[in-house]
Amino acid sequence: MNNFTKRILIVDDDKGILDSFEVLLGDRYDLVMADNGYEALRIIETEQPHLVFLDIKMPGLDGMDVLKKLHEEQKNVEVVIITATHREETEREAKSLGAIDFLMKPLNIVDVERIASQVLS
Amino acid sequence: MDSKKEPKSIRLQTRLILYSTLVILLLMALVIIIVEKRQSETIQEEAQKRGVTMARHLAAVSTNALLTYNYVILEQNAERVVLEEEVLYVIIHDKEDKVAAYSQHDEKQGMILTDEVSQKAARARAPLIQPILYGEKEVRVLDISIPVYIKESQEKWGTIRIGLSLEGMSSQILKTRLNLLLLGGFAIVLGILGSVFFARRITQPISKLVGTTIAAAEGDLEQAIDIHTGDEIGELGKNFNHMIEQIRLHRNELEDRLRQITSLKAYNDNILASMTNGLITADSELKVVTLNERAEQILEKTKEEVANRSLDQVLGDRHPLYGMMAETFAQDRVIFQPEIEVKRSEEPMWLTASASVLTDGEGKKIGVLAVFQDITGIKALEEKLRQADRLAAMGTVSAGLAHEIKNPLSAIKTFVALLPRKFQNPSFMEKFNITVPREIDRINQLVEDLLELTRIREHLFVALDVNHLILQVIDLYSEEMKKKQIHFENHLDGTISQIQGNAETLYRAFSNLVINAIQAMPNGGTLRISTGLISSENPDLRIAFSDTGMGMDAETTKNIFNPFFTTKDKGVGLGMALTHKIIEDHKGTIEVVSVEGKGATFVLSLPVAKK
Ligand SMILES: Nc1ncnc2c1ncn2[C@@H]1O[C@H](COP(=O)(O)OP(=O)(O)OP(=O)(O)O)[C@@H](O)[C@H]1O
Ligand SMILES: [Mg+2]
Repeated sequence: MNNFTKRILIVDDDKGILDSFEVLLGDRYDLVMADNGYEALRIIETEQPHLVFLDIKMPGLDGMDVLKKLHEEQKNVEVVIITATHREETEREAKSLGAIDFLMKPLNIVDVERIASQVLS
Repeated sequence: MDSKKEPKSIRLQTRLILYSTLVILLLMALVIIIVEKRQSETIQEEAQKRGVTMARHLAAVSTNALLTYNYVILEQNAERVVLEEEVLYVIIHDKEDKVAAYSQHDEKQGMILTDEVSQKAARARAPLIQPILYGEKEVRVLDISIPVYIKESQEKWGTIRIGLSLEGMSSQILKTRLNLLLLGGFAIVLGILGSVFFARRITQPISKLVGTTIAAAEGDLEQAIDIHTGDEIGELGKNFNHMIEQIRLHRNELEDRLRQITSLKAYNDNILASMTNGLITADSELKVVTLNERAEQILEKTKEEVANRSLDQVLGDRHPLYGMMAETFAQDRVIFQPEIEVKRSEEPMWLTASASVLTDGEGKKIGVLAVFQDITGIKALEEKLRQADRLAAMGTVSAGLAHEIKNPLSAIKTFVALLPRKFQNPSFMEKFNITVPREIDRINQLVEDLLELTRIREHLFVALDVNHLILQVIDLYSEEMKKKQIHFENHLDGTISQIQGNAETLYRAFSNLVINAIQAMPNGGTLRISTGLISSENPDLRIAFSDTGMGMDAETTKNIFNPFFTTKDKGVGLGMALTHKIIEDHKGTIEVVSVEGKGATFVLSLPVAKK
């Protein structure tokens, strides 16, 4: 089960989150990290990941802004939202903008692994 | 109006005419009487003189004939003389008093006349003049008799008598009288006419003057008298004009004043009525004087029912407005109450009110005034805003809290979940040992901070040196500051650094300020910390942290002390909230002023230690 050709982008301003993705998926996928929205957009453009785990609450360009941008540009990338606070309307809006899932922190490793394998199989 | 003023002046005029006429009449009468008397006397004298002269002449020419008893000559002489004008008769008596000649009466020759006049004349030894009535017609006659003496002898030789008629003289006198009367009448008429004319001339300006005064008395002051007589009346007119002018000026001034006062009053009333503030004034006995419309509505009283009643009766002695006004008046000072609650028939009302003493022009207290505004609506709005603010702040807090807890939790959860699978993987275990304690510490720190924020401080304060504490903080960050080219400017006042406080928490507060300043100056700058007294009256310690960093916008200054408010990527947003709390615990204050792009200054005040 070597999926190193599958590239996943993790976007979060929290180092702990990035670290936990590293230990969870780092041994199976090609992981790229970004701690803000601008960096995320740049990486999506240049490295064309297949899947993005996107945090909402970030300073500057936040997760929803990134999602909107991707939606506008009709980028061929699957986005999963990861957030600390759950709000129905944010989830609805994210889904309407093409997010395939909406995960709540603290994250469940089973969910993360399932989504990754489903999307990237 | 004319009929009113005429009588007076006519009376004056008539009186003048009457008086002058009377005077003229009297004068003329006197003149006539005197002149007539003089004239009659002169005429009589003339006649007498003539008669005597004729008699003497006759005596002279008849002396020889008398001596010789030559009656013929005597008779001739008598007949000649009687022809003279006015001579009625000529009688010549001889030495024995018998008639020697009697003009036109030959039969009486030789007789002795027995009438009294003849007797007196014959006996007279000197010339004698007797006025008599002569003949049947009783003509007034002067009987002039001259005794005839021989030269150098005392012996009388006869008497010459001439009867001189006074009728001619009388008629002459009559004529004179008539002339005089005519002249007098003419003079009187002339005098009266003159007096009428002069009276007119005198009274006309007076009546004009009177007319004007009457008009003036009736209020018509817009007139001037046009009298140029150049005498006292002209002077009077001039004075009167002057007086009227003065009165007119005074009246105009008064009218102006009145107008001003009325318009001022209307103006005042208007202002009072259109004021959106309620206004109530009371006099020095605290009796209500004015109450404007808004006050009527707010206090639910009408002007009529409160006028001149005492404030406590009107408002009730528990009413906050009454209390304010009474206190203001008693203590002679302005009182401002931002919020007072007044009971009303329906819902209570919130007012902002201020009361001040009313003084007259000389600064004497004459009453008290209160102005108030209904702020019930504003208060409700404020309450709503506060609620909204609270909710928004709570939103920030809960979002921040979720973020700050769930991120480390999520990390810990993942690491722990992978543990069974990977505990034999050394690189995983290495990461585990770094990450999990770090994330746990993060949560712990957060909990500590939150506790700190809400904790009621029970620490015992001790005397401590603020300068020392600040310098410790600077010391800790000096390496970092040097690296970032941040210069520290020390303006600490060594004489007033002792305060009562908690060293541990104050150290945190100062650290937060210094860290923020450093973070605000990524490209270097100056951090200046100064201490001093707030002011000469307020001996509290003032500490200012001033940086030359990026500064902040209004939104940030407004929220800076809210928990979890941050503009930084890696910021939690508890630094300033904690600092605020710590300074508050020390009974101090903290404020921030900032110009975006120029820097920020935090000003703290802390009570100094009381010795
Ligand atoms: N000296 C300063 N200059 C400019 N902005 C400042 C300064 N101090 C504070 N701020 C602003 O106030 C915000 C709140 O500061 P605070 O210290 O409470 O939180 P923080 O610094 O963002 O996070 P932390 O909890 O790590 O301190 C900051 O994010 C920043 O925007
Ligand atoms: Mg801070």
